[in-house]
Amino acid sequence: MLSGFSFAEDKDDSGRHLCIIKEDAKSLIVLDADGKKVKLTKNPRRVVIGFTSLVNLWYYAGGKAVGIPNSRSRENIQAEAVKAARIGTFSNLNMEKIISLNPDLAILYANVNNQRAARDILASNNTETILLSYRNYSDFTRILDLFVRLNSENPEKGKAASLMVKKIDAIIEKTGKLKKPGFLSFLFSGSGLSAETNLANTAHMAMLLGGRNIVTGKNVPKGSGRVSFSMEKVMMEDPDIILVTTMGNGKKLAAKMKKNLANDPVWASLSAVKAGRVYFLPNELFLYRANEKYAEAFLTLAKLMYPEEKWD
Amino acid sequence: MFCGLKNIEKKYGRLTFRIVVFVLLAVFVLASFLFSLRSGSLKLDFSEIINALLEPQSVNYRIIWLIRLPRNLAAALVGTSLALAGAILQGIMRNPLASPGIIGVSSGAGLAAVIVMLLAPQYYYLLVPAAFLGAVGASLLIFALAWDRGLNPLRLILSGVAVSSIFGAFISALMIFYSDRLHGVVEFMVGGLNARSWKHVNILWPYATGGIIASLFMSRSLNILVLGDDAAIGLGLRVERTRIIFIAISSLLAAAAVSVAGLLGFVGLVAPHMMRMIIGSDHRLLFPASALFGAGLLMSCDTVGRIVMDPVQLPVGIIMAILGAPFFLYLLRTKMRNATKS
Amino acid sequence: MQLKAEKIELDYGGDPVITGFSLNVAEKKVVTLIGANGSGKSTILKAMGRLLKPSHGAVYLDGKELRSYDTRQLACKLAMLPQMHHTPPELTVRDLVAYGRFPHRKMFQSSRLEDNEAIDRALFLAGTEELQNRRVSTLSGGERQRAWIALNLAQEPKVLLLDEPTTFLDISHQFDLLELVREMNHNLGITIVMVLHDLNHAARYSDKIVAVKNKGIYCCGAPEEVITEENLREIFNINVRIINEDGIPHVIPTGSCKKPAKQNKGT
Repeated sequence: MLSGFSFAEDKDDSGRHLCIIKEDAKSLIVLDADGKKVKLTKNPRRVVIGFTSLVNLWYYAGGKAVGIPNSRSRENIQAEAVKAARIGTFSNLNMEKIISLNPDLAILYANVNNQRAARDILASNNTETILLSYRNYSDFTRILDLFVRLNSENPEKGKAASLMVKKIDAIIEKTGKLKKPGFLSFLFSGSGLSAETNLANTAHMAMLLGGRNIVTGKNVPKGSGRVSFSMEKVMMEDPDIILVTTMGNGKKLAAKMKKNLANDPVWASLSAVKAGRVYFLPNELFLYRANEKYAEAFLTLAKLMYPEEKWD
Repeated sequence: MFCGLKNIEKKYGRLTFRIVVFVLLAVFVLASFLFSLRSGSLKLDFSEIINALLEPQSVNYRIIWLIRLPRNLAAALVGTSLALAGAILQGIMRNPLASPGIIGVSSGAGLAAVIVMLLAPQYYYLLVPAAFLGAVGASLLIFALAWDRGLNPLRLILSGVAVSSIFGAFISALMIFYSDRLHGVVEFMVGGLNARSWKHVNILWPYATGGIIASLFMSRSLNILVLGDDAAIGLGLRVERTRIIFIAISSLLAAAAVSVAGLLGFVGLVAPHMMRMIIGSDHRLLFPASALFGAGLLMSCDTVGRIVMDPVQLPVGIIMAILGAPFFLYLLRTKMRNATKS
Repeated sequence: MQLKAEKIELDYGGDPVITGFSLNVAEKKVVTLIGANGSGKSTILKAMGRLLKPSHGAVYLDGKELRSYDTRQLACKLAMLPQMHHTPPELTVRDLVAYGRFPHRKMFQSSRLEDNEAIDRALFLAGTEELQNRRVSTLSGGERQRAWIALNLAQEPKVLLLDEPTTFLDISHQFDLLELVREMNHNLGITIVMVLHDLNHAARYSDKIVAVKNKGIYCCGAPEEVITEENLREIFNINVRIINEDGIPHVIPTGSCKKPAKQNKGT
């Protein structure tokens, strides 16, 4: 019932997010994550970014930043970016710090609600802002495209990036003729299991690679990336493979989970468990957005999903 | 310190004592304001602040004018509104555990805010008005359910508990369905003043001013009401009308505060309580004392939250609970000890 | 300033507790309501004090219906000492008595000379002058009741209603209070209507007694007319002996009115 109430996103979340409406040599006009028209000047000199994954993506596209979030997670930050000043945690940005850095562009993360509050203050400060939603690879390609255009003075990085995207396209094309496996992707964190919809990072990649996500149906809330999913449904659908990302200390949790799975009769009954096709995925490629390592991520996943094929 | 105050009362009489208390409160508010103006990611002393205000283009000016000043004013107004709302409700309900949460303001604002944040985040600019409407709507619902030829305090409290439970359940359900969008929501549920700007101050000050004036105007009536419904009627007070007016005032005050700052819990319950322990329950004094104390309290706690782990910020709700609760317990113990002595 | 109830019917939302009750309270007299628990005597008093709205009939003060008075104006003429009241702990006696001036004051007025004089007078009349700067929470039960009566006196009413004023007091304070009520009636001409439990108090301190039973008046009249053995047996189900001492009937209860057969069975 509640799923019907989400009026934010379309079914496949492509929506109009990041449609570029106009572009010239100096600036461009784009639709942000809320559908707002935003004008951005190209090649900004002082950039603050509200989310670590976006930091890495910005640098990958040829940009530089003066302010980045304090990171509590083990997500790796680009070596170059480590020198930047810290502006508070992504869920609680320090406005004073941001203003004192005198930014001309602020890149904000739409999936944290209160980053939107920063927009008003930044507007009074004459700082351009763009609100981005970055949940999966499709977002990645669009954001990368935007970032490359914004860093027009630094086109080599853009060229390298587009090579990676082509590689990934080739991988995806190859799966077109293969038999599609059903999959379940879930996140295992301290508070338990949550199953991913096709909007979430790992499941999205598996879907692009031709997999069929068992987490679908009219009661799955539109716009939600993770849901608490019925174990009965899992047994009924009996996915061919199970993909697990763990939050926190990856190796310890993975070992604990493996032990649980081995001893739990419910899990043991699943074909994927019996066939040994439960895969614990590395954090830096799947929990966090892989950014410049997306090709590696896709390759890793493709090998797991289609082990009979030859991948290089 | 508390014993010191009591000694002043014994030695110099009640009037002097009251003057001293209000002077101390005014000093507290002023000191909190100045403390918060100086502190933050950028540390400034007063000459620098004055210089900054004279240079509209400088970074310092922008920090003070765009961020620090409005945030502190918002803190003061929110603190005043919640403390005053709590003082009113504790008088009306004749119950020291009453707080703005009881009349559903918190759960109504929370549900409306969570709906906007989780289901329609692109309508973020509607967050404050939605929370306000939710707060007022929940209050009206509770009054309607509790109405039985009048507004009986016990029925109000029970209806409030029931409605808050239902709304809380909806909030939890939404948070479960959209668990990947939770980061901003938790800030709102705990209560915080991050990124509050002049827009928020402009929403708050009409309600705060109106609420202060109206409640001071009617403070004598509340004194009479506290004597008991029967005694109050005997003294010529229109009991139901007075109760309704006061509840309306406190609803509006609390709704405005909660829609801007989130579900701040501590101030509305404990600030008026602390003032009552010091200055007594004559509402002509309790209302202004609560208003002043609430303002100073929130400004100080927000500032502490901003500087203690710079540049990481702690929401003001957490700081208030950590610092305020022990102080409240200390007051309680001293009061109890004195009470059992006499 | 006559207080009159005319055929009033009272209920608390369900069946009527009182029906067709009429009573004329003559000016400057003391009228006492007596009756068993639950007979409705407090209910009647509440209706006469505007605390309860009659579902039929009306109460009139000075020819005008109670409900049509402005509430403050009414409180300047009619005061009530309710059974339940609450005093904030740090209030002094003088603060409490000052509340009695509330109906006389306009919204924002601070104390005027006449208010202070009225408070002084009330404190003196109620014998609470020395207590005026003490906190009410430090007073004994009897002193506290007198402080509340001082509050009523500060209202300067013509009619005063008292709902079981002596119930929680010890015997010396009970008489203190009733003597005070009599003084207010004799010296100030205040009409008194009260509800009392103790029949001897009622007999000694009333001009007229009204006995309430079966949702209405059982009988009413001077104490010696109402306080009789048959009446008390009917109203309270008790056996009594009446002794007449200085013109006032004194009640000596001898036991409840159970049937003799039950008593013989024993336990």
